[in-house]
Amino acid sequence: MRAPIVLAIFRKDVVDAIRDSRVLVSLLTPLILAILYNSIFPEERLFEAKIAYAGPETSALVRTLQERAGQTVSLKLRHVDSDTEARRLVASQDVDAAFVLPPDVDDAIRQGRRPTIALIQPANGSSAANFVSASLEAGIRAVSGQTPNATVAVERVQAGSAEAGVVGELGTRRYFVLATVVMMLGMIAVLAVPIVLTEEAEKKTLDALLLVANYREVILGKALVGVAYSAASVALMLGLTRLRPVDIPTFVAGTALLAVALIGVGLLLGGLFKTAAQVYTWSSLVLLPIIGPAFVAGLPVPDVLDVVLRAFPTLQGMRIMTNGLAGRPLFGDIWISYAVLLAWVAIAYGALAWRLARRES
Amino acid sequence: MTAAVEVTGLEKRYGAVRAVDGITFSVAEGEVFGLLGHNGAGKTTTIRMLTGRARPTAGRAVVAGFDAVTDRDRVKPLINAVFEDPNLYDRFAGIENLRFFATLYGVRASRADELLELVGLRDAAKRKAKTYSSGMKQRLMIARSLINSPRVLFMDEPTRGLDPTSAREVRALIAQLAREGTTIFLTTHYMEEADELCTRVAFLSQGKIVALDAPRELKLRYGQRTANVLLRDRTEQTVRLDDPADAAKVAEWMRADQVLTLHSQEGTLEDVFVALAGRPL
Repeated sequence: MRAPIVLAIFRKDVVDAIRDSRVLVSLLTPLILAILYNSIFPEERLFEAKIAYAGPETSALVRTLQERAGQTVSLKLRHVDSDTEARRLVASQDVDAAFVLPPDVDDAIRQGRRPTIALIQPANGSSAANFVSASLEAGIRAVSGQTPNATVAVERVQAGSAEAGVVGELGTRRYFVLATVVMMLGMIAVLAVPIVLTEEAEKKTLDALLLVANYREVILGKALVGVAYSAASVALMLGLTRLRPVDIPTFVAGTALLAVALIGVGLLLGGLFKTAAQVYTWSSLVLLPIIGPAFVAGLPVPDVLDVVLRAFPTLQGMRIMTNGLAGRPLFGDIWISYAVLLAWVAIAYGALAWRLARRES
Repeated sequence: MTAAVEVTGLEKRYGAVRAVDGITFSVAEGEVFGLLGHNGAGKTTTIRMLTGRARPTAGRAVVAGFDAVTDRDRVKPLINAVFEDPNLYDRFAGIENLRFFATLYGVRASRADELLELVGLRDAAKRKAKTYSSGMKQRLMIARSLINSPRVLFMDEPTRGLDPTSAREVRALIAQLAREGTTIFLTTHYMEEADELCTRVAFLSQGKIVALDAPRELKLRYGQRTANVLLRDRTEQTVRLDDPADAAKVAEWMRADQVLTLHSQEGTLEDVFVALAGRPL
């Protein structure tokens, strides 16, 4: 395997493929769909909380508040000079709630001096005040070094599939945009990559290429094109839809593994068709089972279908990516997802290697 | 003289079909060697085996000093090919096509510019290949085939489908390459082309070589030795040069000042091919 030849083929195809309208359409379709989902489904933040506070600006309690807000609370913190100013802002409804920290509050908590933190809220209360109250209590425990004498394990039980609530947990917008990311990976692998490969054979440029390269170098060059398009497209889609994975390593691992597995399938498909037009025509049939499972990964489905769908790489990829996006295990037993994807990688590239060996003989 | 191509008992079977049936020949360094035959005679399959794109069922081929199968990776940098059908990257400009292959072969990019100049496409360098005429595409393919300065150049029907002017330009290029010492392995349907360019030709029929020699020798061996005589009374007579009776007739006409013109009728390669293969190309 000669790296300069592989890279030359890769560079050629990255430029050439994008000039092919069929490849361009396969890239743009999911991108447009993602933007559409992004705009029609509302932002899933629970609420916006405008909070004023007086006292030490860099208290650990303030940091706790910011950390707990995460992606679900749009927290707008405003430091004021006095408790009077804080009360005025609450009264004028410029903020939803306010709190007043005594001087050296962090040290006082650590030394057990039991300082008083005043929470100021409107007469009828507010969700923001509840959030501040809960967060401050957690912050106080953390600063004082207290560990709870017991922990509460929260279990959510849903009718039907245990994962039926994933869409609700993740939010409709994020769920469907993520499914569209998987759709894009599918279209690149099962449409764009086979077109790039088949066109080379159809136009007989492969003959010229094989005078200097071997089949393995050509195939690897094409696979790298798929990987590059996948990486660039996912980054672009996340940027355009403002989707921010909380657990980036998990998200990247799921995306990369799924892309590599699907590209292997796409390269195998590329060898089955004689012309790029055939790929374009028939790949829609292949795309359906490739893309479909991603959209139902978090929805309740009959048990039999659930078992069948678990064999599909896109469903398992979607599960890993969902966990990565949420930053918590919305799907359990995620090792099964990794195992299924690795099995797809092994099968696809094993079959490809076998076919290449036959062709070279 | 060392052999640029040495083929021994080369055979390619597809199931029960013997596309190439145990052919043996050699091509000397600097020679222009023609492989002639009908469609399906095995010409392209032979080239595919010699260029490492198909594995022979039996036999051996040594190209540029290396075994075409076991030493394929050492053969590749030393050879190149012009294909029967235009196979360029249509969405790339002419210069981009050449630069891509320059990168693959690890040669300097400026070689692409030199070759475009050589084949007369410098002015069209930045035009996409799909806008080129058939002749221009063929010349670009020839330029591409020279990118690595090959020792052996395989040309599969290089003038097929070209108009007479473009075909003449391509033939001139081939002749120039031959003068510069490149070994050329040519397949063609056009007998005049083979006659003009090749130092030796082999006739391939149903996968077998049925004749192999210099065009002149083949014509002498298989062609008819006749002459056409136009007499003063405007009648045209054909005489056989190896027939003593015809020779006496010609002598008589000349003594009587009856001969207006006399043309020897040397056989053509096509005549030779018909004589050997039973039907014209």
